[in-house]
Amino acid sequence: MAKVTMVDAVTMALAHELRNDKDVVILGEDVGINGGVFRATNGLAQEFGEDRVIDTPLAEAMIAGLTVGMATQGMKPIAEAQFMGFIYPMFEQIVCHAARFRNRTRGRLTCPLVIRAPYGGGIHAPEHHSESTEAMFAHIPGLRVVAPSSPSRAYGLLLAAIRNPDPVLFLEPKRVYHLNKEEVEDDGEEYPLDMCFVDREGTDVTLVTWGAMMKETIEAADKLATEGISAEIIDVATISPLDMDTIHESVEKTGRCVIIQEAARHCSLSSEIAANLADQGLYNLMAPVKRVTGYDTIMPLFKMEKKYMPTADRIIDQVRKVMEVS
Amino acid sequence: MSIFKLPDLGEGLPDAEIVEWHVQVGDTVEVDQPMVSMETAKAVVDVPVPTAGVVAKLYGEPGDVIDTGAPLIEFSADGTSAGTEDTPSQLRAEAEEVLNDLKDGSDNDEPAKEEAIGTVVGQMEASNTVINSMQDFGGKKAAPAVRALAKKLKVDLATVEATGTGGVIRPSDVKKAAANPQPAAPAAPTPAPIPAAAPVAPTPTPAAPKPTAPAVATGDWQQVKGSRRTMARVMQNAHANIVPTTIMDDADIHAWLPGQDITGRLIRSLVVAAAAEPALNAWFDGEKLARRIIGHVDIGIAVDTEDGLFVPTMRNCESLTPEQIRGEMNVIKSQVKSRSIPPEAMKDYTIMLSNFGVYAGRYATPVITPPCVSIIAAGKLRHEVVPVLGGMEAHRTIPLSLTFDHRAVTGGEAARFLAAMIKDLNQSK
Repeated sequence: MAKVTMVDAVTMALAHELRNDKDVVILGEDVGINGGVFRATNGLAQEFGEDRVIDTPLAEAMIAGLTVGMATQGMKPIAEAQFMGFIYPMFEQIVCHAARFRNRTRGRLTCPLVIRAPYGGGIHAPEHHSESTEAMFAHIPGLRVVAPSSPSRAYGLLLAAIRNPDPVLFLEPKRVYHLNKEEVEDDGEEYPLDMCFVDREGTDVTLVTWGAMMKETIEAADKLATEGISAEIIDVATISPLDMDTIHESVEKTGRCVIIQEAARHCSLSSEIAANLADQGLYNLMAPVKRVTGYDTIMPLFKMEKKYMPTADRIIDQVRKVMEVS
Repeated sequence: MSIFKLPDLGEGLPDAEIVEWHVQVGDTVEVDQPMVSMETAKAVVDVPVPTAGVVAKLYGEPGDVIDTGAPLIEFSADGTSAGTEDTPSQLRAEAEEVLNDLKDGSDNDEPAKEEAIGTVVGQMEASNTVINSMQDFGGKKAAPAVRALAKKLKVDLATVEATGTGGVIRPSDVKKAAANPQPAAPAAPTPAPIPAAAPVAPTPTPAAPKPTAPAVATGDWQQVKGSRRTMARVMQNAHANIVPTTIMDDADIHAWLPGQDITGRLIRSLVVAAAAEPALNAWFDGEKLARRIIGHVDIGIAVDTEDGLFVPTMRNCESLTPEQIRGEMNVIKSQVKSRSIPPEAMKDYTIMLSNFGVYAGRYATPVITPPCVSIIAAGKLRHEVVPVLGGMEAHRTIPLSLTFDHRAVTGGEAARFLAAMIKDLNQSK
């Protein structure tokens, strides 16, 4: 079993599906010969040929449109948006076509495509390279949005996304592309979509997060454990559709919930989770639902970035607040 | 004198390997002439000379890995290096310092030097730390995602055979367990002794025992009596003699005004449907192949009790007001409860209604009692998403199942009967 980083795990999953499903193709800017801006498609064009790992012009709307066309006609295209900040030209194709084809054709056609996009900040990148706008896509019915938090999850969830008959936006938290390694077996085993994963069981507070924020959340939980506070950690993994059942189940047990996200606060996934807890889980709550988020500002450049990104300390502060009510 | 530090080469990687130097110490160089080829994860990038001058020092040989932000080459006006001979650890410390400068940049810090900033995607944190996502679960290890899968497939992880290294449960183990639930050991059914007086009954298939228990049916044979015995005979007779065909559809009751009585509305819709298609409100004689269309609607209403099925009759439903129907229903219910229902009230109905949806179930294939030729079963009310102009709405619907005796009724008659029922149930009051 190989010890791999998240970006290696993505490459492994892509290669596995290219090898085992002749309908799978990859397309995007510099995904072929160059191997992708983050090397996620490194070596794939050489192994599978340039007609299956296709270098496209720098034109996101075209890439997305091409992907929708291919997917509705029996192929399984995987497009790469180099950064989430450059995905917006694709938005029209994703929202108006990919997400609606099943409904538009009353189930006659589906749209089995994946759009991969590195997202998130914390790497001192220039403008447009650090956004976390998953909520914009989570709002769209008919579209699945997935964000792995670890190498093994990137591998298993990407396989499931590629094999899924509906469109999946697969968001890769680039800050943790190389953060650590995990033993991942290239055995083609997919992980379940549409489910939260309980990463650590606890009794006092439920910490809900996804993507790169898992790192700070674990740090916070470790530190809280030394103070005798037992935190349950939930990795949302599939942002849309959202598995609220697992979150409710956990909050029923702990009575408290802190949601951690890198994205801005207003109208975000944490808003939806908090609203859902208020609507369906109010009588399980012993304290207000707290949120540790980015700010409702443009993502700052490197000098202020550290101020923007949620930290373990900010998570701990909010946990202490909800623990005051016992 | 200036030290050029390795910029991020556009891939966001933490380091790059020197492939080949195109300049040597002492060379006088011009801006943009080829300086060095660097490899980052097998992509070779040529780095041009950033500033004109004389090469004073190279900070690595081909094969050496240089961290992003660490010194790569030094230029001076005269070719002499100001730097001392650096050890790799010093270089690393310097690189760390650059990275820390970047990471800890606060409002009061000097902005980091231009050459240390990533040219495209900045600086990513990297490490060789191996994380372990496995957690013990009943002495076995399973990743959270695998546990989530087990939850989805309703598999108890404690019963799953782990095939992964070191007792780790893999997704395929869970899928295998889901596909092969612990089977009951196949065993020849052993009929329990039957009381001598009882008719010889076919041996029922024993219920699947627990995996660990031997396959033995438990419990004593009970002689069925009374209404339960009647039910058994009537049903056997029906099954042997009629040709049942069932059609199913939903009635949209979104328009109902408050206070509508479901049973009352169902009875009214049956009356309306019988007027539209009299062939279903009839009796059929299979011996003589004769049918009798009946001019009034007597509805046999199936009532479930602990003692079995009772079918009391509500007579002349076509002439009852909603209030009278409700009153009749209350009488029927209390009579069934007190077992005081007269025998003549439990026969000669012309059509049957079974409202089994109060418990559960959507559609059914209800059984006709001869000589009747039809029975309607109403399932559990549910909300159904209905497309409407401009979007979708959730409407309350009643699922209906109509079984008709195809010896006496055509498919068209049955479908029109059901359509008439649905049309009446669509009405607001």
